Amino acid sequence: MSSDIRFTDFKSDKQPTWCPGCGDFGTMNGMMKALAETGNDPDNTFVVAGIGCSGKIGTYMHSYALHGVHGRALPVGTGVKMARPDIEVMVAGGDGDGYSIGAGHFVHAVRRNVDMTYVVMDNRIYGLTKGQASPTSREDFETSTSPDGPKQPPVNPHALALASGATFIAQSFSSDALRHQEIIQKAVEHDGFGFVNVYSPCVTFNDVDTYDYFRDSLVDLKEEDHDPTDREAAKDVILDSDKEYQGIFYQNEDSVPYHEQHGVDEDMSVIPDGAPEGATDLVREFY
Amino acid sequence: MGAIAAGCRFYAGYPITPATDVMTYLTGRIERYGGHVVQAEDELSAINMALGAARGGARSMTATSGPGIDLMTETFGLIATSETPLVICNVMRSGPSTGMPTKQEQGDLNHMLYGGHGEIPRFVLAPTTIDECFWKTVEAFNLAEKYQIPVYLTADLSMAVTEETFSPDAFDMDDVEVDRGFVVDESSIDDHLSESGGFQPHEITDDGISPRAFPGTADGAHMSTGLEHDEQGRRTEDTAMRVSQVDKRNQKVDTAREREDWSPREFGDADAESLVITWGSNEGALVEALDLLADDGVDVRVLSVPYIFPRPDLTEDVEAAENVIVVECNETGQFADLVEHDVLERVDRVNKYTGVRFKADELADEIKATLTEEVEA
Repeated sequence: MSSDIRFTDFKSDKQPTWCPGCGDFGTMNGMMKALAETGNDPDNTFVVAGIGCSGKIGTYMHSYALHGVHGRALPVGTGVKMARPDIEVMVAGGDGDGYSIGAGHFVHAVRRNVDMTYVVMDNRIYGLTKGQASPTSREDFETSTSPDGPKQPPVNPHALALASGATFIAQSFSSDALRHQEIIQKAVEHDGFGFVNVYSPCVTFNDVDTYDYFRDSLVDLKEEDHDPTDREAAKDVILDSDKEYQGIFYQNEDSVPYHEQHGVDEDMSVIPDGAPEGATDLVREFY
Repeated sequence: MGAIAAGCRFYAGYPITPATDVMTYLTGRIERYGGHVVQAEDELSAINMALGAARGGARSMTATSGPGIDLMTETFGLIATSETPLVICNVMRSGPSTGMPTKQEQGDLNHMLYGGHGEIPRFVLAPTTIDECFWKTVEAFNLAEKYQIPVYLTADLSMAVTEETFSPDAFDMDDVEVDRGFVVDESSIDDHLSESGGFQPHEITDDGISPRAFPGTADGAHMSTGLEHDEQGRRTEDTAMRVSQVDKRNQKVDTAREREDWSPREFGDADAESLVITWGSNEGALVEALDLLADDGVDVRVLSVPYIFPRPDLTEDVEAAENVIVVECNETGQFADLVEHDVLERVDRVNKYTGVRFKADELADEIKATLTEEVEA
C-alpha cells in the first residue's frame, strides 16, 4: 500500500447525477477520506453498492466495485471478503436497500461479524423512484404512497443491530464532514462488521428531515459522556426516540471477526493448474 | 468432489432437498484445500455471496433445487451482465411450488434456459451419469471462467441418491485440468487500459471474451454492474455501446459453440431406423432398456445429451431417422420442444435491442432488405 494515496484517488471520472445539495456527496467524500486515511488504495479496495440513489456510489468512486441487485449488497460484500481477506471491503446502500428489501441480510451480516464496513445513506425517503415512504420515514410523513403518513413506526436499525449481536454501531451526518469521516474511519478500523447509519438528506423529496432539522437536533455522543463499550448504555441511547444522535453508540473492543473465528485467511483467487494437492484423498474415502 | 478438484474455494448455500448433500459434503472437506462453506440466510443471499467471492477471483459455486432456483434467478441476470464466472448446481425435484420434494422430475429445463427477465446468455450442462457428474463439474468451472458466464450444472433427485460402484481410475485427479481463461496481471494489464488509463473488463473483442483483473491487481480497479455499461463497466445508455455489449456477451456463446465439444453420447444400434434421444439421468435406464428391446427384436439408436445449451445440432440425426422419440422425466416434453425447434425450418428475423422502439420507416427498410437478401440467396 502506498502512503501517498489521496482521497481524490478514490474519485472516478464520472460526474455524479445526484441532485445538487444531495447528502450523498458528503457521505461519499467521508468514505473516500476514511479509506485514504486508513492506508487503503483503489486497487486493494472493493466497494459494493445496492440499488437506489445511494447505489450509484460505486460509479462515482474509483476502486474495484460491484453495483448489484436491490437489497443484496451485504451478501456480495460477505463473499468478496471471504474470498479475499486481504481486500478492504466497503458496502454502501440506502435505507430502502438496507432496511426494507435487504433487511433480512442486514440481521445476518451483523451476526456474522464479517470484517467490512457498512454505510447506509439514510434519507428517510425513496428518492430515485421520486418520493415514496421508506422504512425509516416518520409515521406521519406524507408521501405519494402514504398521503396520511405510513402510520407505522420507523425501523430502528441500531436496535436491530444491537439485538443481533453487532460489534460496532454508529451514526453520522453527511454535512458534519470531519465528524462523519472520523466515524467512518473508526468503522473501517474496527475488527468486524462496522455499521454506520449516515443521515444523508434528500433535498428534493424530503422537506421534513432536512439539513436544518439535523443541524438543530443532532446530539453528539462524544459530548454526552457516553461510554461506547458499555452495551447497556448503548441500549439506552439507541432506544431513546426523543433525540437524534451522532457518534459511536457501541463498540465491542473484543470483537473477533468472522475470518478469524473460522480460519478463513487465504487468498482464494490463487489455485493450481490442476486438482489441488491431496485431492485423491477424496477418492480414497470410498475404498 | 468435482468442485474441489476443479479448484472451487467458496460455496454458499441454503439447505433444500435434494441439493443439501452438496453443502454437507463440502463442509469439513473444502477447508482442507483452503476453501470455505457458508450456510446463508436464504438463496438470495447464497447466490450473492457466491457472486461476491467470484468477483474476488475465487472459483465459486452454489447449489439448490426448484424453489431456490426461483429465488436465485433474481441475481442471474447480474451474473451474466457483469460477466462473472459462476457455477450454479440445480438438483431438480418435482415441482411446481413445493411439489414433491423427495421425488424425481426434470421439470426445470425451461427455467434454466430462459429464467430471468431480459435476455441472458448462459450455459446449461446436464451430466448423464454419476462419474460424469464429477467431470462435468470440472468442465463447468472451466467453461464459466473461460467465457465469464453463469453455468447451470444440473442433476436431479435420482442422480443425487443413486449409488454406483466405480474403479478409482474413473476419478483420476491427474486428468483434472484447470483453465482460468483470460486473466491479466500487473505485467499484462497495460494492453487493456483505455486511453484515460481505466481498465476495460468489458473490452469489445472478436471472440467476445474480455480480460479479467482480480482485486489487488495494480491499475485494475474497475466497476461492474447490472446496468448496461461501457468497456470500463461504467453505466451507459448509448445505443451503439448497448448493442456492442449485448453482441459481445452473445458472441461468447457462439465462440464456445465453435471451440468446445458439445457432442452427445451414443448407444445402441448406430444404423437403426428409430432414434431415441434423452438428457440427464435417464441414460442408465435407457441403455439397460436397449437389451430388453433387443430381446423383442426392436433395434434403436440412442443419443444421450449432456449439453442443453449450447447443445449438439441433431438435425441430421433426426432427419435420417424414421421415428424419433424423446425421453424425459416431465409432462410437457421440454427437451423434445428444443429438438423440434432445432430441426424446424428457419424464419428470418428482424431484431432491435438499442433500447428504442421500432419506427415504421425503419421496419419497412428492414423488411425490404431481408426480402432482397432472400431473393438473392
